Amino acid sequence: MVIEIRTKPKYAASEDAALLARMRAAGLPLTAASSARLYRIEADWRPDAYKKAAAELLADPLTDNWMVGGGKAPSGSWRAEVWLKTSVTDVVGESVSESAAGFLGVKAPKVRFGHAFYFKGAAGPGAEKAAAKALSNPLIHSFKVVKK
Amino acid sequence: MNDSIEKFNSLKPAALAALDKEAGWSLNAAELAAAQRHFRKLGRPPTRGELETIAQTWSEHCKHKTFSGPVRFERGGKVKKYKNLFKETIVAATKTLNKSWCLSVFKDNAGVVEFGRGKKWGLAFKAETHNHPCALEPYGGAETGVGGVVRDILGVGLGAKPVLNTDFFCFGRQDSKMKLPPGALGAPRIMEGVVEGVRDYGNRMGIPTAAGGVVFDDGYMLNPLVFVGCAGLIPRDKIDKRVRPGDLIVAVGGRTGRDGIHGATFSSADIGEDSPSSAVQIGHAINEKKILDALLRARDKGLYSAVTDCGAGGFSSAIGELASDCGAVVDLDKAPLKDVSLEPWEIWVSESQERMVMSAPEKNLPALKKIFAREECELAVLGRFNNTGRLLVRFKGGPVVDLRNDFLHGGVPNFEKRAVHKPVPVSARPPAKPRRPLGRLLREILAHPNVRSRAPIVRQYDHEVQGGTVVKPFTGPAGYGPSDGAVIWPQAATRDLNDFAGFAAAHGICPSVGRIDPCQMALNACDEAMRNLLCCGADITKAAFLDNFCAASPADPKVLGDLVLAAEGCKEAALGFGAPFISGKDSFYNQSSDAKGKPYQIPLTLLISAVAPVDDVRAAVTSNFKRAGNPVYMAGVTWRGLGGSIYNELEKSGNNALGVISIEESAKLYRGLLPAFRAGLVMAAHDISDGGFAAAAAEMAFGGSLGADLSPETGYAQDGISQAELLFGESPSRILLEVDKDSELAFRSLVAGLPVERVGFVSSGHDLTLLDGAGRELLREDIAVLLECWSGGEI
Repeated sequence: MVIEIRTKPKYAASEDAALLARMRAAGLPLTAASSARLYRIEADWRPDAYKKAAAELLADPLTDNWMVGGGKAPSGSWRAEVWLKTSVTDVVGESVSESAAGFLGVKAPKVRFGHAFYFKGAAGPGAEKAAAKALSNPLIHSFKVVKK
Repeated sequence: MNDSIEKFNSLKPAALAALDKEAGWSLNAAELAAAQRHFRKLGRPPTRGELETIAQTWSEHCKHKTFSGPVRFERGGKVKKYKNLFKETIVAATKTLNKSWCLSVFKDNAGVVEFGRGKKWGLAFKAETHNHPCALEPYGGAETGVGGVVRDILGVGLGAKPVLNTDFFCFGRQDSKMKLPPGALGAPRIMEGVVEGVRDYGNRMGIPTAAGGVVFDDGYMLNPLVFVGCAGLIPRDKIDKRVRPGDLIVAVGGRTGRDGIHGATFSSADIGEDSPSSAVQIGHAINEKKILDALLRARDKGLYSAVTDCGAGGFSSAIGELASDCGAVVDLDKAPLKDVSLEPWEIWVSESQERMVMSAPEKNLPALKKIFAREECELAVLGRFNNTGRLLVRFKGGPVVDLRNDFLHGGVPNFEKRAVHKPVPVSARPPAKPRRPLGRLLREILAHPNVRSRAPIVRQYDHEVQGGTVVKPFTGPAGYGPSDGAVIWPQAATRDLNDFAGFAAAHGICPSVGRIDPCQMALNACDEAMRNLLCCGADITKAAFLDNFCAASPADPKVLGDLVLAAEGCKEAALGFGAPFISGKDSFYNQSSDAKGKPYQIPLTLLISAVAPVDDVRAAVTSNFKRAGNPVYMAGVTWRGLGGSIYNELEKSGNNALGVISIEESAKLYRGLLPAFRAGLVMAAHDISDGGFAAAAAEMAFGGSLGADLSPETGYAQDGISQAELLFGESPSRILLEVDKDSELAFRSLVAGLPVERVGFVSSGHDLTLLDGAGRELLREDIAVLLECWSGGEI
């Protein structure tokens, strides 16, 4: 199960502006860009446990929105995910695994940490290739465009 | 590959080379032949683990073969031979100086000098590079670079408490249009990842990051240089360590995985598209913080007799090094693993991060376990040290490594390398007049990547944690002025709030000078570091240096020739300043193939890091102007020459001569200024370096939100010097000083006989005005505009 945490729009302006500038510097003429944190949790939890972990452990209730199951790109936008390859040590995932076990009083789940990016503007294979180059390192990351 | 290893003793040189390439050992033909002779003599083939151990132990990273090997240096028809370049230059200077306050030099993970009142403490300092990993994966490479150098401080003596992290980077120009080869990361991407890595590791560990810098040059486009340093405090009675035969081999910290395999041997190879992804290491700062906390508690209880970090080469290097004077039996199946599919040899050489190895008496094991368990830090007994002179490594009883120490540590063949010096043509003709108006030129210089504010980087770091950063990266009422170094009050380590002893840390680097004259580069870098220490108010009579050399392949005689000259420059500077080198590192093979497949080498680069005591941190000095009406003095002589200057990048002066540097005169000047600093007469001090007099004056002015009327011509200068050289020349050994106007006479009396002259006054206005010797205005610029340019705004 993937939990997605996004900074609330009213607090995300500087984060989004930095990402947009970075993507434009990489040659992508985007009109908007934003990002989110992803946690892929492999566990046999009940659905409400994922919600509790998302709401009370992974998201800041003041500044973040959360959703269980991963986000979807709005119309006219596209979404990409960057994950550490499974062979690469994921220190954030390890920390979340330990803290989730303590928080929920369950066996430590397997957790991987990643990022989602939402883009509006340039699209298509060329844009996706440029985004992959700017946002991931093929040595340690997997990059995929998620079309739903 | 197993088949080739089985037949190792009968392989021909070409087959040996092919095996080496396949395994990623980076051993050369002579080394492979030496290993082959050894196993032929033993009458058995080697194991994979043995060849891996030899490759790690004999790697450039671990053995420093180039620097510690024989060199034949050819220059102008003359030949000079070195048996050991490092010992005959850098170490020789330290030995000659023989300072009683040097407590441990060149024998441990870091150098240690005396610190504080009462002589209770040692200050350990170490800087090293993590260049190759950062080229592949900037974030992970930088993180683990910081983690590694922090572990060096934890592993010096019986362990020091880190109190300062330093960082210095050399990146390609961020606006470069250079076409990159496949797989290479662009300069902005590298910088962003490196800065984030340094930030995250230092911040998460609770160590302040200060005293850093950046050089941008397209020479680093494919091979960034990432220098990370750490300083720590250690009780004086914990500086010595000794492995005792019979002690247990205790590993603590993170689990062993496949990450980082072949990191040490990778540093002996050029970077290319086929560089191994397994050389990428991932850091875990929180795990290292757990080790730090537990280790220092165990140290204070005297529970172990020696410790070192697992760095390059992993267990093979750490245990091999600790056992080098005795012997050891290791059972690898006792090592906690992240990945149970690891081969025994992989466990042995893995460079998984955040691990330390101790030598501990068996009777102390329960207490050690308790301390580390409290921090949820894993501990495993891997074996025992003995006095067999052998390194015996087993996995479930089966042999992995069985090597004698004398062969492993003394068997690497040392062959003479050729070095040549090819002088660069130098033009000392009078520089052409600048095309731009002088004011515009100053604004452009301040906006130059190598001068402009480092705030976007520095502001990401926590430089306040531990509450002892007295001189911070930026100074002045609004925090706009750049500091020349950091001054640290390590009360978090001493726990003594009544002892105001501190230390300053600073750097010197000038690769653009090295392109013209490598020896001058070393002299300038040492001079700059010394000058920066003095500007912070440090006691430079007890300054100590670290050297960090980075170069392309030393197989290129020109590269090695430049290195020889730089090493000689280091020796000359150390002797002249009376400042010993206490530790150092070198990094070679910083070269890649460019987009056309041609070799692309970095310029020879030397980072000098320096520390010196600040007797009372309350008297530390900063660079920003303090009070209108105070006189401003220039210490030092402005020499002709615009070689290596920012000015020369913007204007075609036709002059690439270097300003004269005399370490003897510089040392005399700096020591002569010290009484004025000690007497509290110097209100502000700033070294004149990149951008020259005008840039230094501008930084002091906007740092203090005060104007100034200054005339560089009234300072000491070489006859026939041009206006451009006076304003923007970067001739070394010069400092701008703001002096308390009420104590000017006392100041003048203290500096009598030195090349120190008043060049103007701080003003209450908002302009920086630079005048010629006759008082005519050369330029007048609003300091708010200058600050804007320096901060990345419109020019």
